[in-house]
Amino acid sequence: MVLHETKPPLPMTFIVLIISIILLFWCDWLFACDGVICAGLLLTTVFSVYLDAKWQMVTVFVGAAVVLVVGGAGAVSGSLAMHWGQRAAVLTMMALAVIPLIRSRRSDMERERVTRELELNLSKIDDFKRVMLSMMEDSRLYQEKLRETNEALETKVLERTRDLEDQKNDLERINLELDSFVYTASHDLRTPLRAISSFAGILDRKYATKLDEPGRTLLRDIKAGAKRLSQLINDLLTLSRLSRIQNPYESVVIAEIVGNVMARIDQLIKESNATIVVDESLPEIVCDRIKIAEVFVNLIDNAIKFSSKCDDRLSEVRISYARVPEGHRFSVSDNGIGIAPRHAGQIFEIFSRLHRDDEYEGTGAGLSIVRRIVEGHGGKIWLESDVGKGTTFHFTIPPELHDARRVSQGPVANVTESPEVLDAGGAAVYGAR
Amino acid sequence: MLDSKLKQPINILLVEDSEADLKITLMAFELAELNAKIHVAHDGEEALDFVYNRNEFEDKKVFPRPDILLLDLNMPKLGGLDVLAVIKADDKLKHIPVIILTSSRNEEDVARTYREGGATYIQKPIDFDGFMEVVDGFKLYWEGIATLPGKLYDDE
Repeated sequence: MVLHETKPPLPMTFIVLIISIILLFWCDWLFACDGVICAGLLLTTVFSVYLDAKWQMVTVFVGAAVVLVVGGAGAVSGSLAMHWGQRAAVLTMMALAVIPLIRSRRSDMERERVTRELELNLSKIDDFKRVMLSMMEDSRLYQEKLRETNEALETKVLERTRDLEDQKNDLERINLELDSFVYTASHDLRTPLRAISSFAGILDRKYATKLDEPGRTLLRDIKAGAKRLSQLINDLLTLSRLSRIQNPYESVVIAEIVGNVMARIDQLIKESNATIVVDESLPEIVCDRIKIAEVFVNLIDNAIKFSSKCDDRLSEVRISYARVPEGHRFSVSDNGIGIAPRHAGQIFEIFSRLHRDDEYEGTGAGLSIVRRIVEGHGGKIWLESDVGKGTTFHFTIPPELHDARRVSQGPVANVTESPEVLDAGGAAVYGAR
Repeated sequence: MLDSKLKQPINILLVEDSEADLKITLMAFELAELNAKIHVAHDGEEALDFVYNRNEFEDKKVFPRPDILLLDLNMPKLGGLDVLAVIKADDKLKHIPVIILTSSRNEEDVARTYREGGATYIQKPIDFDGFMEVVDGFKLYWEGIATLPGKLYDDE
């Protein structure tokens, strides 16, 4: 739009035309011919402004050639007759007409240059745009691919998770079945066991005098065997109950638990003359009250049992606490016989014992029960020991345990079931290692 | 210490399906020298026949209304808790103290026993020494400490 404004004004051309016609009448015919050609040429050149660049040039050169040929011929034939003034006038007119033409040509060229430049720039922009578009397309494709890969990966992860969950559920189910089998089996075993144990007892009370010494020894052996079997069955029942029965997590003052535990094993403490030192910093934590009490019963009972037969010193048991990054760490240490490092892993296995029954009593289930409870809380248990000097059991309970189980199971099940653990623990758990 | 020998023997109905447990219980009572006449029923239905003097228990002289009922829980036909429910629903029988003596320790059973009017829930000890402790305790409580309703209701 802007470029076209530089074109010469049309009236100029008409003025040139009118002057040429005046000249026609002023001069002789030959010169008039000269003038008409000039005027035509001028008109052509002026109008050629409205043509495009290539045709403009062609018109100008053709016009110039015609002027030279016709004007030249006219000049030769009529030079004598033509006045110098007339000739000067025609040339002036020509000059006047050509100036705007040249100016317009210049502006046209400028316009073309700018246009070309613009076009170049536009094409560059176009190129840039194309590159950008292709890059964007690439990126889109890449993103799509990434999304697809992600989705595939997610599906795979989901599948794996589901598989794992299935496996976990299967394992849990099998575990539960096993536990419930153990429970039923141990329960059913008790009835005939009671018969054996009780009849042996009756025999001992009523007929012991009628037996000789070897007979009485045999009777005692039967009673001892039955008692041991009863302890083992009770331990099995306790272990199976640990899995079957989930008590709610609640806020528990550990000092209170330890106090109750000490009351429970008061007789053992007195008999063994043991000193029990309880750390005053025992905290209040969230845990399964009944099961954690079992942990303390077993650990303290063990500590007393394995430190009460040292000739040179009295049994001393310490219960201490430390806050560690993993949560709450409790430690029960004794000054007893210690455990050799090679046995340290073995003692947590069920019914594994390091000593003969006549040295230290117990079924070997206690520490296995303890480990099961601690791990059930998401904690860890380990020990440090110096043979001949003493042993320390450490266990951790994670902080901020939430009672998810209570929500999922409903409180009723827990209320009715929880005391069962207490029952199982009562007399059965004491034997360990 | 009260002298139980001076008192009338108490009538105990022992309801027990296991022969071994029956033998053990009877032996323990014998050894404890309980001043009691112990009658035996082998399941829940028999127990109800006994208290209502039906069928073979028709003779009220031979099978008097028991002063105490010792009930096992898991029995064929009619379980201990069913027998307890029938007795506690009968105005003429509900004064009789019913003691559950069983091998199981199901929390729900314990709760139901007391809810439905049972006097005590005792888990059978695994060995005879334990059994003797239970029977000694039983003797001390029911012969020495507690007063039973006796023959108050017998006139009808």
